Amino acid sequence: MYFIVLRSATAAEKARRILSGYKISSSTGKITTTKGCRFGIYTEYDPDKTCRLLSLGGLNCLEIRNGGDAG
Amino acid sequence: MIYLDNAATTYPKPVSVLHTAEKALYDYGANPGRSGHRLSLETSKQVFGAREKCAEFFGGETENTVFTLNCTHAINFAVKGVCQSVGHCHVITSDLEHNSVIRPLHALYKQKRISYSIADSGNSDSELLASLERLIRRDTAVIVITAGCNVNGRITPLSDIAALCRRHNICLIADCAQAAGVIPLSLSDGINIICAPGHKGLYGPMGTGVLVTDGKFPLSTLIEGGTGSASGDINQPDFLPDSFESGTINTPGAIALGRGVEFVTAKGIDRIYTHEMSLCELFVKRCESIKSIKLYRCENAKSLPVVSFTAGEETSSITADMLSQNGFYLRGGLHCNFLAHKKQGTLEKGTVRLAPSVFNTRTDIIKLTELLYKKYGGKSS
Repeated sequence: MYFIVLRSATAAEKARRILSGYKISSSTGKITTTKGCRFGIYTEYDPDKTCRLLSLGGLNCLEIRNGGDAG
Repeated sequence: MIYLDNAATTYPKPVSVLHTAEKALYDYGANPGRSGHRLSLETSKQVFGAREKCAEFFGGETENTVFTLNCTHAINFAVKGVCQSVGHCHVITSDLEHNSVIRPLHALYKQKRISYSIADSGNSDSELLASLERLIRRDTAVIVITAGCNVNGRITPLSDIAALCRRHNICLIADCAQAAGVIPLSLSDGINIICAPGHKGLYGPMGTGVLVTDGKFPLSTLIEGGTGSASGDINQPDFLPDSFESGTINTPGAIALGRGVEFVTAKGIDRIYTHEMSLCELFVKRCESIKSIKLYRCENAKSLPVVSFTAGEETSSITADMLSQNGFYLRGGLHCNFLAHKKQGTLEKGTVRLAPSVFNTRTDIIKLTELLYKKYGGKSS
């Protein structure tokens, strides 16, 4: 499971919609880091490919976290 | 009771809006964009859906659509946001403007942060355009203008004004308070920032509004605070919509507004406009035989479904009071727009404003005019 950090809850929900259009399963979530709370999406899909797809939709992935570090 | 004060706020609201607001209060009670638990995320999802509908409705991007408390808030965010970002600049507006436009401009002027000019709208689109063009200076940064006047219904030629703004690299801010949901309005017409209330022609609850920007002109923030994002940074986030949504938004209002937009889209703006205009035309036609009723309309420009009138020498508040006592709810006075009243010579007495919604019928208008016949003389037809 990966957690892809996006800049806001709005961006996270938009990401979920974009990925759903590609039949990629994801869910929105939030983690707390030293930089404060960060919204993003959980997905089991390849994170690099996910970020490429999201960038086509105008979203920047700020960070990719995996495994036990995913929140 | 016959409610014809829909230019102040539409009433009643569609049943779907009522049910959605109720469901939001029952089922989406967590704070959206704040917590990571399931209820908060579900609420965020609902808010996003409403934001998406508003964005689509005005031809904007979802992230560039900001929920505000009303149109006045949106106009303040837009005008002050652009002016603060540019520095001291010149702003042009028109003599048709509501206080939600002229008061922020005048406040900025008193603080020596801008200078502003008021274009004479004359009696036609070409006169308004010529007047706007004449006032443009090298330091003009913004034209802020109504899409349609809330006193006499006059529609302004926004596409032509947008073309003028593009030629001079001026930001066009449209006050769509009366026009949103009644005539088509889109960023694709060249408007840079659309400001709209949620509670009028979009049939959402009071306490809702939107600002939709094409992002071409940077906006400084007026209110800073918690956004649920970038919380470890002392600086306000610089991305939309978070930068303009500090503090908790009116969540049930926003979700219900999404349903209102859906209602308008399903009905069709053209059908809504045709229906409401036909009621105004019926009113005008039936008032023809009442000599003491004077109507205030712009004959040489397109109009929103709003008709202002006075009865004889009475002040508008007396006429509106009489109507209220007989079960007809119309607004008298200056409608928060002294500029338009000054232009049409009704600053002293004000006017009574007829503003139908999609829920009014021909029978409502016939009953209203029957009362006017009875009070002021005239022939019933």
